Amino acid sequence: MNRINPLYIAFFLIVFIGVLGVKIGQAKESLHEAKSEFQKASEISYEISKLRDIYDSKDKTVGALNAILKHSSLKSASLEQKIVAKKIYISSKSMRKSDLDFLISKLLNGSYAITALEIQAINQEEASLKMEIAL
Amino acid sequence: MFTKYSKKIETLFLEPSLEFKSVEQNVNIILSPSFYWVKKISLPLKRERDVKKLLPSIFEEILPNGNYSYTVYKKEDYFLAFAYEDRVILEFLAARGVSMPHIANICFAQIFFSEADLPLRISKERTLVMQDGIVLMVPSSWQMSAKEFCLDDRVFPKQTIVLEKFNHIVDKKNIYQIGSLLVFVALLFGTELFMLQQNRDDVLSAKENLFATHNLKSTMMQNESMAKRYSALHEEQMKFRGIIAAIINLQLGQNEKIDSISYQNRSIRVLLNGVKESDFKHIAEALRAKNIGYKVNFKDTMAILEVQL
Repeated sequence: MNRINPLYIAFFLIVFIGVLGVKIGQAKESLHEAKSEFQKASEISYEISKLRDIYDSKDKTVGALNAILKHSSLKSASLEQKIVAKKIYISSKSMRKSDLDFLISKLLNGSYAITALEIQAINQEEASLKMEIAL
Repeated sequence: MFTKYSKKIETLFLEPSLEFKSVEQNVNIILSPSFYWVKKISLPLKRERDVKKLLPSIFEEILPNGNYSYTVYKKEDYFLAFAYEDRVILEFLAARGVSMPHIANICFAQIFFSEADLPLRISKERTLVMQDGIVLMVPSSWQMSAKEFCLDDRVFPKQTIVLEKFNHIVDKKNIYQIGSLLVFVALLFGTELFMLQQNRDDVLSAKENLFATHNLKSTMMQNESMAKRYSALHEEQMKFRGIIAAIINLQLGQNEKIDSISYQNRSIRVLLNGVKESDFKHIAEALRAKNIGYKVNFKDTMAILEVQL
C-alpha cells in the first residue's frame, strides 16, 4: 500500500502548473521589459548615429567646409583655415559684408558645431571674422 | 477482528466477524473470503493482463452493484480471478482506525493459504476450508477436525493487491485522463515558458547586435550618456543659430548698426552702435517675440546686448 496517492500527484501537478503560470507571468513581464529596452536602444542608436554623423564626422565636416571656402563667391575673402587637434579655425582679417553674409548663411544652415565666433565691422563695407568649429 | 499472525511485520487476518484489535505499526493484511469473489477459470490465453481485460464481463452476472477492481493470477493450467470492492475494504479499515500508510501489503486468503494449511479454525464460529482449489469460509461445526489458528513466521506472498482509494469516486480511466490533461497543460505551460525565455534572449541579443552595428558602447548607460551629450550639443547649436538669425534680422534704425557679434562659452555678445536706451524698445520687442532672454547695458550711444544659451 506504499503506492503514491494519485491525489498527491494531481496536487503536485497543479502546484507545478501554478508555478509555471507564475514563471510565465514573470517571463512575459521580462520579455515586455526587454522589448521596451530594445525599443529604447533603437531610438538611442538612431539618435546617436544621426547626431554623430552631423557633429562627430571629422572628414565629412572638413570636406564640406573646404567646399564652402573654395566657393567662387569667397575668392576675394582672404579666408584662412587652420586645423588644430579637434578644432578647425576660419579667419579673415577683412572681407566684404556680402561675402560674410554668404559664408555665415552657409555655415549656419549647415551642420557644424560652431564653438566660437567673432565678427567685427571694420567699416560700412568690410568686416573681420574669426570662427572656431569643433570636429 | 484481527488475529496476530507474524512477528516481523505483524500480519492480520481481516474478517468482519472477528474482534477488533487496534494496530499502531505497519501490518500485512490477509483478506478473508468475505471481502472478495474468486473464480477459477480456464481460457486459451497465456498472459494475465489479457485475462484481466475479460474479468468485468466474466464476473458481471454474479457481482452485486458496485465499483469493483479485478486481479488475476496464473496457475499451472488455469487462472485465479478475483473481484473486490476497494471502497468496502478501505471503509472497513478506516472504521477500525487503521490508516493506509500503516498497511504494508494486502493479499487474498486464497493466495496466502495453501491446501496443507487448511482446514483452519479462525474462530469458534468460522473455519477456512479448501474446496476444489478455492478457499472458503464455513461454519466451524462443519469441520470439527480443523487446525487451530497459529502464528507462523511465514513469508508474505508477493502476489499482493493495491487498493484504489478513489476507484469508487473517479474511474481509473478518468484519473488517467485528468492526469494526462494536467501533464499536457504542464507541457503546454513549459513550452510557452521556454518560448518566452527564448524570445527574451533573442531580443536581448538583438539589442547587443544593434549597439555593435551602430558602433556604440556596450552598455545602455554609456549610450544614454552619449546620446545626452549629442542632444545637448545639438540643442545648443540650434539655439545659437536661432539667436544669431534673430539678431542679424533685427530691424534697425537708420543710424543704428551692429558693430560686432561674438560668441564664446555659450554666451553671445552683440555691440549695437547708435542705439540709446530710449531707442532700444523696438529691439527688445523683437527679441521678446522670439522668446530670447537677454541682458543689455548702455554706454553712450552703444548698446551691449548679452544672450546666454
